[in-house]
Amino acid sequence: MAYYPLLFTFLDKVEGKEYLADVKVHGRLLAEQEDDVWWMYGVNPGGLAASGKTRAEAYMEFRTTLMKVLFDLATDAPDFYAFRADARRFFDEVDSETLDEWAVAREQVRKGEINLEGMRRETAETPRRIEISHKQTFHPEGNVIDPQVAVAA
Amino acid sequence: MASVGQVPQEKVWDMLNGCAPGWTCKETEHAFKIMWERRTYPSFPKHKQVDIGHVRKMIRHLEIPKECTEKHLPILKK
Repeated sequence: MAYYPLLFTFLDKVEGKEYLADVKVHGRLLAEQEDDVWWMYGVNPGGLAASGKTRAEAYMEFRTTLMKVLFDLATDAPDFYAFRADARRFFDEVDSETLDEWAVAREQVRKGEINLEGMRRETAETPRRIEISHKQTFHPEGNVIDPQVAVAA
Repeated sequence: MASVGQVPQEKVWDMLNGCAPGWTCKETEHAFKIMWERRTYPSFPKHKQVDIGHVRKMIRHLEIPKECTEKHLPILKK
């Protein structure tokens, strides 16, 4: 079994009650390969997991699962501010066990003991956070795609 | 965490009854939102058979005592 510490950014929009939220999730996850299955465990946010037969499949499932949580939060929230508060709470809820495993895996990457070929390495880790803004102006520049996932090193 | 295998959904509920007294669950459009002692796991799958990885992560995230969960779900010991 091998573990990999990954850093991701998801850029998306969430529609709520009378608002559109611009969401940027700068998170981290612990990827695990066991037999022929990949698992992705959330670190920030911590409350989710996803699997797939390939790394890419598991990663896409992880993204979908995360967005579904945000959609459910938007369904329950009465307004933009409640949604933002709930989403921040979701992002910040971490379990220490997975966090520790992520840190150990990052040390192994730094020592060269594990490597994910073809994946960008990020040594200067930017703070993990969720940014949510109330979208009120609309321009083509707002159409963006996710940056490539990176290995924390 | 070893994550291969599945657990019937009702066995997970039995484990929660035994190991996380006072746990609550709300069904959302996409998942079960499971809550225990101020912590929330909002993405538990709605499937009748749940992949062990989801069960392990939910247990960790809610910080449910591991010894108790392994007693109820021996597959977690692997």
